[in-house]
Amino acid sequence: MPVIALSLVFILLFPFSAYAYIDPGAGSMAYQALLALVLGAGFMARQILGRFLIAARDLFRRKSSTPAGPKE
Amino acid sequence: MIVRRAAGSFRDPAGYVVHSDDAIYRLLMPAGRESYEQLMASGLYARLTESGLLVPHEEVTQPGVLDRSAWRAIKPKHLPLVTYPYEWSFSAWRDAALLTLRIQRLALQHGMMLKDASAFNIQFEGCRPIFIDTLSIERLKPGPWRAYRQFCQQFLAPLALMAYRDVRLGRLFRVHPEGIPLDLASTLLPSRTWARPGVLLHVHLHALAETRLRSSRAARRTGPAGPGGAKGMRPTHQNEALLDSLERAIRALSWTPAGGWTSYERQTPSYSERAMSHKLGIVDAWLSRLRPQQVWDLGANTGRFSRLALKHGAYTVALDEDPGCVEMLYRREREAGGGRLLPLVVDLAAPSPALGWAHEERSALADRGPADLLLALAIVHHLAIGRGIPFAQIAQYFARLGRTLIIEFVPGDDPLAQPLLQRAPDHAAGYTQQAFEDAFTRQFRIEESVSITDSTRSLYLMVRP
Repeated sequence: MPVIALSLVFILLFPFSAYAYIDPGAGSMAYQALLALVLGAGFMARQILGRFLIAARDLFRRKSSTPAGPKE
Repeated sequence: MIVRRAAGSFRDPAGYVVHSDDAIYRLLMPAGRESYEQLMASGLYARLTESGLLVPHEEVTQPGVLDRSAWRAIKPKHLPLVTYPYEWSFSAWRDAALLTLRIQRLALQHGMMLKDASAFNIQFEGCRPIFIDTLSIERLKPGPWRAYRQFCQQFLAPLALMAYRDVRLGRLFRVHPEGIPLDLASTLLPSRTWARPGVLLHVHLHALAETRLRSSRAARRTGPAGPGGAKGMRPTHQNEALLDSLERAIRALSWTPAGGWTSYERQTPSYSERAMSHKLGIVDAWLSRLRPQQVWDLGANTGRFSRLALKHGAYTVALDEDPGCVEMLYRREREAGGGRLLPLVVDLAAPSPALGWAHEERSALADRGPADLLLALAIVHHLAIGRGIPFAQIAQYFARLGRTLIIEFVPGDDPLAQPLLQRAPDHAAGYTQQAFEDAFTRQFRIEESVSITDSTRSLYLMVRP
């Protein structure tokens, strides 16, 4: 997903122009900031999904174990 | 004590390396003080050195080491030999990349970061990579990771070129010792790599970004720090996501020579069993007599004799021009946990030159020696006939590389030399045992010579006077 999203961003947004010598790292730094945003969002989404799945599993287990489980 | 500044150590304002006759020191300048103190106090130094990731050091106070502007000197543990990425096997370079990422990850957990990601900051002890530039670890700064592009140029791009195009492209690094320019890497990589997420994100699109984004509003708005630079620390999850992505990109790269080990081990044996065991016996006896600290095995091939030197306690460097057998030897020694045998890709007829600013940043191979002992077994006929280098020049160069020499002479009528002479008949007249001995005795004293049983070959033990 991040790959497709970034490719689209590139194709659509950035003009095909390059000035001679600004800061050789400037483009790379800007790209990295963008990349970290996209990858970071994916990372967060996976974590949230992971937590959701764990919560759902726990909920399911509690429900299914309630009838047979010891009474408190 | 006389100390000299290491010629290649000048880029980092936080400090530089000096060496005396028997040790090297790193001088710390005030600019690096804060970071160094955090490294030591945060527990990161202990964590990194205990796991063998960072070279340990001791703080020294000897007079003569500190110059007037330095506030402290440290003496890092001595490493047997400095080597460079363009000499490493594919897997060694890949291990160095993973080590760099691991250190960056641990540094982030301690509020620190790597301020550069130079492959030259990694050295090898046998097949174990170790980070040597203590001053590269600095206090975490806001904004993107400044070493990101360097990591891609010095690790990802060369490794991708080796894995997807041709392993010999590792030597392209000699032409670009500051890293393979990403637009060049992108051009050279096969088009199928646009479908590999790691290479696409960090090489191809990154290369496009370098030219197209640097003039963008995003880059202009915040200057070299990039967007986010003004907004403070980047959120942890973004740092982790970027590191995860780089690590996945590196782990996805692999290269194995066609046929693996078998293609080397199945080569027609050129020695009868008797001849081989006689040869092993002689070298074994000489090794136990000489007890060398460091051995360079020239043309090591499967490393049979390198391992013999290792058995005698020597730190052994196995040099071969074939990236395939160096790769297989590295993997085998790494699995064995080897910290004393390092295989390197070196073409002896065109060994690593001195490189970088003023030809002094990276040393030529010969200037990193001499080894206590050179093993030159079944190699001289390749150089003399195959590469047309006269005996006199070979002897001179070997005398620069090592103090003692165990060398094998393969005569012209031998099945090993015959095919070479058929291809280069002009060299036949000069290729005699007498000419070999004459040339080598101008540089060495022959201590002993033995004819190998059941063959026409001879072994010599020679010592530089």
